[in-house]
Amino acid sequence: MKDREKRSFTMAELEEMGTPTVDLVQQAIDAGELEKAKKLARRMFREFSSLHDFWVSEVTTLLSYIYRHNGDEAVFKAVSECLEELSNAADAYRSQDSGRQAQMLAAGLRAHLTPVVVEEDAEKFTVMMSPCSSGGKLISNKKYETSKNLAKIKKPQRITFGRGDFPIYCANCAMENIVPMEKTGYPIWISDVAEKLGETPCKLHIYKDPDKIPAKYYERFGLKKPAPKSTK
Amino acid sequence: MPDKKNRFFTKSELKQMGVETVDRIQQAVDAGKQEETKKLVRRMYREAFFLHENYRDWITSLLSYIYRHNGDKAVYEALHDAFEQLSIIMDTYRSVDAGRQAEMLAAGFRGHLTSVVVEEDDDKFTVMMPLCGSAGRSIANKGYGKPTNFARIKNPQKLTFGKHDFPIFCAHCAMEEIIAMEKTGYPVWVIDIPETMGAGPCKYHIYKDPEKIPIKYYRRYGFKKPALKKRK
Repeated sequence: MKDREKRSFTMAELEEMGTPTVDLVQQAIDAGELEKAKKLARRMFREFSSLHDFWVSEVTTLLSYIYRHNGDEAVFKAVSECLEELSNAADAYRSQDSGRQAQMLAAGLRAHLTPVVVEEDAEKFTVMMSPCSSGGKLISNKKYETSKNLAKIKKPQRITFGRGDFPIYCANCAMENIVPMEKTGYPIWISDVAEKLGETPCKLHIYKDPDKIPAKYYERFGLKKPAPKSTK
Repeated sequence: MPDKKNRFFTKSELKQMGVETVDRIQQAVDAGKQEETKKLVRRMYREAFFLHENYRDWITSLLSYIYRHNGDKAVYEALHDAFEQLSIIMDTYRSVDAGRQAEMLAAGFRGHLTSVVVEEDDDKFTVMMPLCGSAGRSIANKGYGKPTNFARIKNPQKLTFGKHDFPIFCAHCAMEEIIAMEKTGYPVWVIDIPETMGAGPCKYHIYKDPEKIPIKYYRRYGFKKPALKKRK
Protein backbone atom coordinates (compact mmCIF):
# COMPACT_ATOMS: atom_id res chain seq x y z
CA MET A 1 0.00 0.00 0.00
CA LYS A 2 1.22 3.47 -0.76
CA ASP A 3 1.26 5.85 2.15
CA ARG A 4 -0.37 8.76 0.43
CA GLU A 5 -2.23 9.57 -2.72
CA LYS A 6 -0.31 10.65 -5.81
CA ARG A 7 2.58 8.40 -4.76
CA SER A 8 4.08 5.70 -6.94
CA PHE A 9 5.95 3.89 -4.16
CA THR A 10 5.57 3.00 -0.48
CA MET A 11 8.22 4.15 2.00
CA ALA A 12 9.54 0.58 2.15
CA GLU A 13 9.86 0.42 -1.63
CA LEU A 14 11.75 3.72 -1.68
CA GLU A 15 14.08 2.47 1.04
CA GLU A 16 14.80 -0.76 -0.81
CA MET A 17 15.48 1.24 -4.00
CA GLY A 18 18.28 3.03 -2.15
CA THR A 19 19.92 0.03 -0.51
CA PRO A 20 23.22 -1.00 -2.12
CA THR A 21 22.65 -4.17 -4.10
CA VAL A 22 25.54 -5.91 -2.35
CA ASP A 23 23.60 -5.59 0.93
CA LEU A 24 20.37 -6.85 -0.65
CA VAL A 25 22.16 -9.94 -1.97
CA GLN A 26 23.55 -10.72 1.49
CA GLN A 27 20.10 -10.25 3.03
CA ALA A 28 18.51 -12.55 0.46
CA ILE A 29 21.09 -15.26 1.16
CA ASP A 30 20.56 -14.98 4.92
CA ALA A 31 16.81 -15.22 4.36
CA GLY A 32 17.30 -18.35 2.25
CA GLU A 33 15.83 -16.60 -0.82
CA LEU A 34 18.39 -18.06 -3.17
CA GLU A 35 16.72 -17.33 -6.49
CA LYS A 36 16.28 -13.72 -5.41
CA ALA A 37 19.99 -13.64 -4.45
CA LYS A 38 20.97 -14.85 -7.92
CA LYS A 39 18.78 -12.25 -9.56
CA LEU A 40 20.19 -9.48 -7.38
CA ALA A 41 23.77 -10.58 -8.13
CA ARG A 42 23.01 -10.23 -11.84
CA ARG A 43 21.50 -6.80 -11.14
CA MET A 44 24.68 -5.75 -9.34
CA PHE A 45 26.65 -6.86 -12.39
CA ARG A 46 24.45 -4.79 -14.71
CA GLU A 47 24.59 -1.70 -12.50
CA PHE A 48 28.35 -1.59 -12.60
CA SER A 49 28.56 -2.73 -16.21
CA SER A 50 26.57 0.32 -17.38
CA LEU A 51 28.86 2.70 -15.52
CA HIS A 52 31.97 0.82 -16.64
CA ASP A 53 31.08 1.15 -20.31
CA PHE A 54 30.09 4.80 -19.94
CA TRP A 55 33.37 5.64 -18.24
CA VAL A 56 35.48 3.71 -20.77
CA SER A 57 33.84 5.81 -23.43
CA GLU A 58 34.34 9.02 -21.42
CA VAL A 59 38.04 8.30 -20.88
CA THR A 60 38.45 7.64 -24.60
CA THR A 61 36.67 10.86 -25.55
CA LEU A 62 38.80 12.95 -23.19
CA LEU A 63 42.01 11.34 -24.47
CA SER A 64 40.83 11.99 -28.03
CA TYR A 65 40.20 15.64 -27.17
CA ILE A 66 43.75 15.98 -25.84
CA TYR A 67 45.16 14.22 -28.91
CA ARG A 68 43.32 16.45 -31.37
CA HIS A 69 44.09 19.70 -29.58
CA ASN A 70 47.50 19.07 -28.03
CA GLY A 71 49.08 16.22 -30.01
CA ASP A 72 51.09 13.06 -29.39
CA GLU A 73 53.35 14.28 -26.60
CA ALA A 74 50.41 15.62 -24.62
CA VAL A 75 48.64 12.25 -24.76
CA PHE A 76 51.78 10.58 -23.48
CA LYS A 77 52.04 13.07 -20.62
CA ALA A 78 48.32 12.94 -19.74
CA VAL A 79 48.22 9.13 -19.67
CA SER A 80 51.45 9.07 -17.70
CA GLU A 81 49.91 11.39 -15.06
CA CYS A 82 46.81 9.18 -14.86
CA LEU A 83 48.85 6.05 -14.25
CA GLU A 84 51.45 7.52 -11.86
CA GLU A 85 49.88 5.51 -9.06
CA LEU A 86 51.03 2.34 -10.80
CA SER A 87 54.45 2.77 -9.27
CA ASN A 88 52.76 2.20 -5.88
CA ALA A 89 50.95 -0.81 -7.33
CA ALA A 90 54.33 -2.12 -8.45
CA ASP A 91 55.47 -2.19 -4.82
CA ALA A 92 52.28 -3.99 -3.77
CA TYR A 93 52.79 -6.60 -6.50
CA ARG A 94 56.46 -7.11 -5.75
CA SER A 95 55.79 -7.78 -2.09
CA GLN A 96 54.05 -10.98 -3.28
CA ASP A 97 55.27 -14.08 -5.12
CA SER A 98 54.43 -14.35 -8.81
CA GLY A 99 51.52 -16.73 -8.18
CA ARG A 100 49.81 -14.15 -6.00
CA GLN A 101 50.67 -11.47 -8.57
CA ALA A 102 48.83 -13.51 -11.22
CA GLN A 103 45.81 -13.78 -8.90
CA MET A 104 45.87 -10.02 -8.32
CA LEU A 105 46.06 -9.29 -12.03
CA ALA A 106 43.25 -11.73 -12.78
CA ALA A 107 41.09 -10.00 -10.13
CA GLY A 108 41.85 -6.62 -11.71
CA LEU A 109 40.83 -7.88 -15.13
CA ARG A 110 37.70 -9.62 -13.81
CA ALA A 111 36.61 -6.18 -12.60
CA HIS A 112 36.11 -5.38 -16.30
CA LEU A 113 33.20 -7.85 -16.10
CA THR A 114 34.41 -10.31 -18.66
CA PRO A 115 35.84 -13.84 -18.59
CA VAL A 116 39.57 -14.04 -17.99
CA VAL A 117 41.95 -16.76 -19.10
CA VAL A 118 44.96 -17.56 -16.93
CA GLU A 119 47.75 -19.81 -18.18
CA GLU A 120 50.93 -20.93 -16.49
CA ASP A 121 54.14 -22.41 -17.86
CA ALA A 122 57.50 -23.01 -16.22
CA GLU A 123 58.61 -19.40 -16.64
CA LYS A 124 55.55 -17.21 -16.51
CA PHE A 125 51.84 -16.58 -16.09
CA THR A 126 49.76 -15.24 -18.97
CA VAL A 127 46.54 -13.45 -18.11
CA MET A 128 44.09 -12.19 -20.71
CA MET A 129 40.55 -10.90 -21.03
CA SER A 130 38.65 -12.95 -23.55
CA PRO A 131 37.15 -10.77 -24.94
CA CYS A 132 38.67 -7.48 -23.74
CA SER A 133 35.75 -5.49 -22.38
CA SER A 134 37.42 -2.08 -22.28
CA GLY A 135 39.51 -1.10 -25.31
CA GLY A 136 38.62 -4.27 -27.18
CA LYS A 137 34.89 -3.75 -26.74
CA LEU A 138 35.12 -0.22 -28.14
CA ILE A 139 36.79 -1.67 -31.23
CA SER A 140 34.49 -4.65 -31.70
CA ASN A 141 31.47 -2.36 -31.27
CA LYS A 142 32.94 -0.13 -34.01
CA LYS A 143 32.90 2.93 -31.73
CA TYR A 144 35.97 4.40 -33.45
CA GLU A 145 34.08 4.33 -36.74
CA THR A 146 30.67 5.49 -35.51
CA SER A 147 31.65 8.24 -33.04
CA LYS A 148 33.30 11.37 -34.33
CA ASN A 149 34.73 11.95 -30.85
CA LEU A 150 37.00 8.89 -30.63
CA ALA A 151 40.50 9.11 -32.09
CA LYS A 152 43.15 6.70 -33.29
CA ILE A 153 46.78 7.73 -32.85
CA LYS A 154 48.15 8.09 -36.35
CA LYS A 155 51.92 7.86 -35.93
CA PRO A 156 53.72 4.80 -34.52
CA GLN A 157 55.26 5.61 -31.13
CA ARG A 158 55.94 4.16 -27.68
CA ILE A 159 52.35 4.24 -26.45
CA THR A 160 51.12 2.55 -29.63
CA PHE A 161 53.60 -0.33 -29.34
CA GLY A 162 55.09 1.06 -32.56
CA ARG A 163 51.88 0.75 -34.56
CA GLY A 164 50.09 3.31 -36.71
CA ASP A 165 46.37 4.16 -36.42
CA PHE A 166 46.26 2.84 -32.90
CA PRO A 167 42.98 3.05 -30.90
CA ILE A 168 43.69 5.72 -28.31
CA TYR A 169 42.17 3.94 -25.30
CA CYS A 170 44.65 1.07 -25.78
CA ALA A 171 47.54 3.48 -25.18
CA ASN A 172 47.01 2.92 -21.46
CA CYS A 173 48.26 -0.67 -21.85
CA ALA A 174 51.64 0.53 -23.08
CA MET A 175 51.80 3.08 -20.27
CA GLU A 176 51.08 0.33 -17.72
CA ASN A 177 54.34 -1.25 -18.91
CA ILE A 178 56.30 2.01 -19.14
CA VAL A 179 55.48 3.64 -15.75
CA PRO A 180 56.78 0.80 -13.52
CA MET A 181 59.82 0.31 -15.78
CA GLU A 182 60.75 3.97 -15.60
CA LYS A 183 60.08 4.27 -11.87
CA THR A 184 61.43 0.95 -10.65
CA GLY A 185 63.49 -0.52 -13.48
CA TYR A 186 61.18 -3.50 -14.02
CA PRO A 187 57.66 -3.89 -15.37
CA ILE A 188 54.95 -5.50 -13.21
CA TRP A 189 53.62 -7.28 -16.25
CA ILE A 190 54.40 -7.02 -19.92
CA SER A 191 51.85 -6.85 -22.69
CA ASP A 192 51.79 -8.67 -26.00
CA VAL A 193 49.24 -6.71 -27.99
CA ALA A 194 46.90 -8.67 -30.21
CA GLU A 195 47.73 -8.75 -33.90
CA LYS A 196 44.18 -7.63 -34.61
CA LEU A 197 43.01 -5.47 -31.70
CA GLY A 198 39.44 -6.18 -30.68
CA GLU A 199 39.43 -9.57 -32.38
CA THR A 200 41.87 -11.57 -30.30
CA PRO A 201 43.00 -10.95 -26.71
CA CYS A 202 46.04 -8.99 -25.62
CA LYS A 203 48.28 -11.14 -23.42
CA LEU A 204 49.71 -9.89 -20.14
CA HIS A 205 52.71 -11.88 -18.88
CA ILE A 206 54.07 -12.04 -15.35
CA TYR A 207 57.50 -13.68 -15.25
CA LYS A 208 58.26 -15.82 -12.22
CA ASP A 209 61.82 -14.52 -12.34
CA PRO A 210 61.92 -10.88 -13.52
CA ASP A 211 65.45 -11.41 -14.79
CA LYS A 212 64.02 -13.73 -17.43
CA ILE A 213 61.89 -11.00 -19.01
CA PRO A 214 63.17 -10.82 -22.61
CA ALA A 215 65.12 -7.66 -23.48
CA LYS A 216 62.75 -6.90 -26.38
CA TYR A 217 60.05 -5.83 -23.91
CA TYR A 218 62.34 -3.06 -22.65
CA GLU A 219 63.81 -2.13 -26.00
CA ARG A 220 60.43 -1.47 -27.66
CA PHE A 221 60.00 1.45 -25.24
CA GLY A 222 63.57 2.67 -25.69
CA LEU A 223 64.58 1.28 -22.29
CA LYS A 224 67.48 -0.97 -21.34
CA LYS A 225 67.02 -4.24 -19.52
CA PRO A 226 68.60 -3.85 -16.06
CA ALA A 227 71.45 -6.05 -14.89
CA PRO A 228 70.16 -9.31 -13.37
CA LYS A 229 69.41 -9.22 -9.68
CA SER A 230 69.23 -12.15 -7.35
CA THR A 231 65.64 -13.03 -6.47
CA LYS A 232 66.70 -15.02 -3.43
CA MET B 1 48.56 -30.09 -6.04
CA PRO B 2 49.78 -28.47 -9.28
CA ASP B 3 49.98 -30.82 -12.27
CA LYS B 4 53.63 -30.21 -13.16
CA LYS B 5 56.90 -29.05 -11.60
CA ASN B 6 57.51 -25.32 -11.28
CA ARG B 7 53.77 -24.65 -11.21
CA PHE B 8 51.85 -22.72 -8.58
CA PHE B 9 48.37 -23.76 -9.67
CA THR B 10 46.50 -26.75 -11.07
CA LYS B 11 44.65 -26.43 -14.41
CA SER B 12 41.41 -26.32 -12.49
CA GLU B 13 42.60 -23.51 -10.21
CA LEU B 14 43.72 -21.48 -13.22
CA LYS B 15 40.36 -21.96 -14.87
CA GLN B 16 38.50 -20.97 -11.72
CA MET B 17 40.61 -17.80 -11.44
CA GLY B 18 39.26 -16.61 -14.77
CA VAL B 19 35.57 -17.25 -14.19
CA GLU B 20 33.57 -14.05 -13.79
CA THR B 21 32.59 -13.53 -10.17
CA VAL B 22 28.92 -13.13 -11.05
CA ASP B 23 28.99 -16.64 -12.54
CA ARG B 24 30.81 -18.02 -9.51
CA ILE B 25 28.02 -16.58 -7.35
CA GLN B 26 25.34 -18.31 -9.41
CA GLN B 27 27.27 -21.61 -9.15
CA ALA B 28 27.75 -21.26 -5.39
CA VAL B 29 24.03 -20.58 -4.86
CA ASP B 30 23.10 -23.61 -6.96
CA ALA B 31 25.53 -25.73 -4.95
CA GLY B 32 23.90 -24.50 -1.71
CA LYS B 33 27.17 -22.97 -0.45
CA GLN B 34 25.77 -20.05 1.50
CA GLU B 35 28.95 -18.71 3.12
CA GLU B 36 30.97 -19.04 -0.08
CA THR B 37 28.23 -17.16 -1.92
CA LYS B 38 28.39 -14.27 0.53
CA LYS B 39 32.16 -14.19 0.25
CA LEU B 40 31.94 -14.09 -3.55
CA VAL B 41 29.37 -11.29 -3.43
CA ARG B 42 31.75 -9.21 -1.34
CA ARG B 43 34.54 -10.06 -3.76
CA MET B 44 32.46 -8.83 -6.69
CA TYR B 45 31.85 -5.60 -4.79
CA ARG B 46 35.58 -5.15 -4.11
CA GLU B 47 36.50 -5.83 -7.74
CA ALA B 48 33.97 -3.27 -8.97
CA PHE B 49 35.01 -0.77 -6.30
CA PHE B 50 38.67 -1.00 -7.27
CA LEU B 51 37.94 -0.27 -10.91
CA HIS B 52 35.33 2.39 -10.07
CA GLU B 53 37.88 4.43 -8.12
CA ASN B 54 40.48 4.01 -10.86
CA TYR B 55 38.21 5.16 -13.67
CA ARG B 56 36.88 8.11 -11.68
CA ASP B 57 40.42 9.24 -10.87
CA TRP B 58 41.50 8.70 -14.44
CA ILE B 59 38.68 10.90 -15.72
CA THR B 60 39.42 13.53 -13.07
CA SER B 61 43.09 13.51 -14.02
CA LEU B 62 42.33 13.93 -17.74
CA LEU B 63 39.89 16.78 -17.04
CA SER B 64 42.53 18.40 -14.82
CA TYR B 65 45.05 18.11 -17.65
CA ILE B 66 42.68 19.74 -20.12
CA TYR B 67 41.82 22.52 -17.67
CA ARG B 68 45.44 23.33 -16.89
CA HIS B 69 46.62 23.25 -20.50
CA ASN B 70 43.59 24.45 -22.44
CA GLY B 71 41.38 26.35 -19.99
CA ASP B 72 37.69 26.71 -19.14
CA LYS B 73 36.25 26.57 -22.63
CA ALA B 74 38.14 23.39 -23.45
CA VAL B 75 36.78 21.61 -20.38
CA TYR B 76 33.28 22.56 -21.50
CA GLU B 77 33.91 21.28 -25.04
CA ALA B 78 35.56 18.05 -23.91
CA LEU B 79 32.79 17.24 -21.44
CA HIS B 80 30.22 18.10 -24.06
CA ASP B 81 31.87 15.58 -26.42
CA ALA B 82 31.98 12.97 -23.65
CA PHE B 83 28.36 13.40 -22.63
CA GLU B 84 26.82 13.42 -26.08
CA GLN B 85 26.32 9.69 -25.52
CA LEU B 86 23.92 10.65 -22.73
CA SER B 87 21.28 11.85 -25.18
CA ILE B 88 20.52 8.20 -26.06
CA ILE B 89 20.09 7.40 -22.37
CA MET B 90 17.85 10.44 -21.98
CA ASP B 91 15.58 9.12 -24.76
CA THR B 92 15.20 5.89 -22.79
CA TYR B 93 14.23 7.87 -19.70
CA ARG B 94 11.63 9.83 -21.60
CA SER B 95 9.99 6.66 -22.89
CA VAL B 96 8.93 5.66 -19.35
CA ASP B 97 6.90 7.29 -16.53
CA ALA B 98 8.49 9.31 -13.74
CA GLY B 99 8.34 6.43 -11.25
CA ARG B 100 10.34 4.22 -13.57
CA GLN B 101 12.72 7.12 -14.24
CA ALA B 102 13.38 7.38 -10.50
CA GLU B 103 14.08 3.64 -10.35
CA MET B 104 16.49 3.95 -13.28
CA LEU B 105 18.31 6.88 -11.71
CA ALA B 106 18.60 5.05 -8.37
CA ALA B 107 20.03 2.03 -10.21
CA GLY B 108 22.54 4.31 -11.93
CA PHE B 109 23.61 5.71 -8.56
CA ARG B 110 23.87 2.26 -7.03
CA GLY B 111 26.45 1.63 -9.75
CA HIS B 112 28.65 4.01 -7.71
CA LEU B 113 28.63 1.38 -4.93
CA THR B 114 27.15 3.54 -2.21
CA SER B 115 23.84 4.00 -0.40
CA VAL B 116 21.12 5.95 -2.16
CA VAL B 117 18.17 7.83 -0.70
CA VAL B 118 14.98 8.13 -2.73
CA GLU B 119 12.17 10.46 -1.66
CA GLU B 120 8.83 11.15 -3.24
CA ASP B 121 6.37 14.01 -2.83
CA ASP B 122 3.34 15.04 -4.87
CA ASP B 123 5.38 16.79 -7.55
CA LYS B 124 8.65 14.97 -7.81
CA PHE B 125 11.14 12.27 -6.86
CA THR B 126 14.42 13.23 -5.22
CA VAL B 127 17.33 10.81 -5.58
CA MET B 128 20.64 11.36 -3.81
CA MET B 129 23.81 9.67 -2.62
CA PRO B 130 24.34 10.67 1.04
CA LEU B 131 28.03 10.07 0.49
CA CYS B 132 28.47 10.69 -3.21
CA GLY B 133 30.26 7.60 -4.53
CA SER B 134 32.04 9.44 -7.33
CA ALA B 135 33.30 12.98 -6.73
CA GLY B 136 32.16 13.14 -3.11
CA ARG B 137 34.34 10.17 -2.17
CA SER B 138 37.24 11.69 -4.09
CA ILE B 139 36.86 14.98 -2.17
CA ALA B 140 36.61 13.10 1.15
CA ASN B 141 39.78 11.18 0.25
CA LYS B 142 41.63 14.48 -0.34
CA GLY B 143 41.93 13.92 -4.09
CA TYR B 144 41.90 17.68 -4.56
CA GLY B 145 44.74 18.22 -2.09
CA LYS B 146 48.36 17.12 -2.09
CA PRO B 147 49.82 14.94 -3.47
CA THR B 148 47.08 14.15 -6.05
CA ASN B 149 46.11 17.74 -6.76
CA PHE B 150 43.12 17.27 -9.03
CA ALA B 151 42.06 20.62 -10.45
CA ARG B 152 39.31 22.89 -9.18
CA ILE B 153 37.70 25.25 -11.68
CA LYS B 154 38.52 28.71 -10.39
CA ASN B 155 36.00 30.95 -12.11
CA PRO B 156 32.23 30.64 -11.65
CA GLN B 157 30.56 29.45 -14.86
CA LYS B 158 27.79 27.23 -16.22
CA LEU B 159 29.69 24.03 -15.45
CA THR B 160 30.26 25.02 -11.82
CA PHE B 161 26.66 25.99 -11.02
CA GLY B 162 28.07 29.51 -10.60
CA LYS B 163 30.50 28.51 -7.84
CA HIS B 164 34.22 29.28 -7.35
CA ASP B 165 36.92 26.63 -6.91
CA PHE B 166 34.66 23.87 -8.08
CA PRO B 167 35.97 20.25 -8.05
CA ILE B 168 36.46 19.46 -11.73
CA PHE B 169 34.86 16.01 -11.74
CA CYS B 170 31.59 17.55 -10.48
CA ALA B 171 31.34 19.64 -13.66
CA HIS B 172 29.86 16.63 -15.44
CA CYS B 173 26.68 16.98 -13.33
CA ALA B 174 25.97 20.35 -14.92
CA MET B 175 26.73 18.91 -18.35
CA GLU B 176 24.15 16.16 -17.77
CA GLU B 177 21.48 18.85 -17.47
CA ILE B 178 22.83 20.96 -20.33
CA ILE B 179 22.95 18.08 -22.85
CA ALA B 180 19.36 17.06 -22.07
CA MET B 181 18.09 20.63 -22.39
CA GLU B 182 20.00 21.24 -25.62
CA LYS B 183 18.70 18.09 -27.25
CA THR B 184 15.06 18.20 -26.23
CA GLY B 185 14.37 21.54 -24.57
CA TYR B 186 13.95 20.22 -21.05
CA PRO B 187 15.99 18.22 -18.55
CA VAL B 188 15.30 14.66 -17.41
CA TRP B 189 16.45 15.57 -13.91
CA VAL B 190 17.55 18.81 -12.27
CA ILE B 191 20.21 19.08 -9.60
CA ASP B 192 20.49 21.05 -6.37
CA ILE B 193 24.09 21.03 -5.26
CA PRO B 194 25.12 21.56 -1.59
CA GLU B 195 26.63 24.81 -0.36
CA THR B 196 30.04 23.14 -0.14
CA MET B 197 30.76 20.24 -2.50
CA GLY B 198 31.36 17.03 -0.58
CA ALA B 199 29.76 18.42 2.59
CA GLY B 200 26.29 17.17 1.73
CA PRO B 201 24.52 15.26 -1.00
CA CYS B 202 23.61 16.68 -4.40
CA LYS B 203 19.85 16.30 -4.86
CA TYR B 204 18.56 15.06 -8.20
CA HIS B 205 14.90 15.87 -8.81
CA ILE B 206 12.71 14.14 -11.38
CA TYR B 207 9.45 16.03 -11.81
CA LYS B 208 6.34 13.94 -12.43
CA ASP B 209 5.12 16.66 -14.76
CA PRO B 210 8.05 18.33 -16.60
CA GLU B 211 5.96 21.51 -16.88
CA LYS B 212 6.37 21.93 -13.15
CA ILE B 213 10.17 22.15 -13.34
CA PRO B 214 10.91 25.61 -11.88
CA ILE B 215 12.19 28.17 -14.36
CA LYS B 216 15.37 28.79 -12.29
CA TYR B 217 16.80 25.45 -13.44
CA TYR B 218 16.71 26.67 -17.04
CA ARG B 219 17.86 30.20 -16.37
CA ARG B 220 21.08 29.18 -14.63
CA TYR B 221 22.31 27.85 -17.97
CA GLY B 222 20.88 30.65 -20.06
CA PHE B 223 18.04 28.48 -21.42
CA LYS B 224 14.40 29.48 -21.77
CA LYS B 225 11.76 27.22 -20.29
CA PRO B 226 9.87 25.72 -23.22
CA ALA B 227 6.13 25.39 -23.60
CA LEU B 228 5.63 21.67 -23.02
CA LYS B 229 2.90 19.36 -24.14
CA LYS B 230 0.84 17.98 -21.33
CA ARG B 231 1.87 14.39 -20.63
CA LYS B 232 -0.95 11.91 -20.47
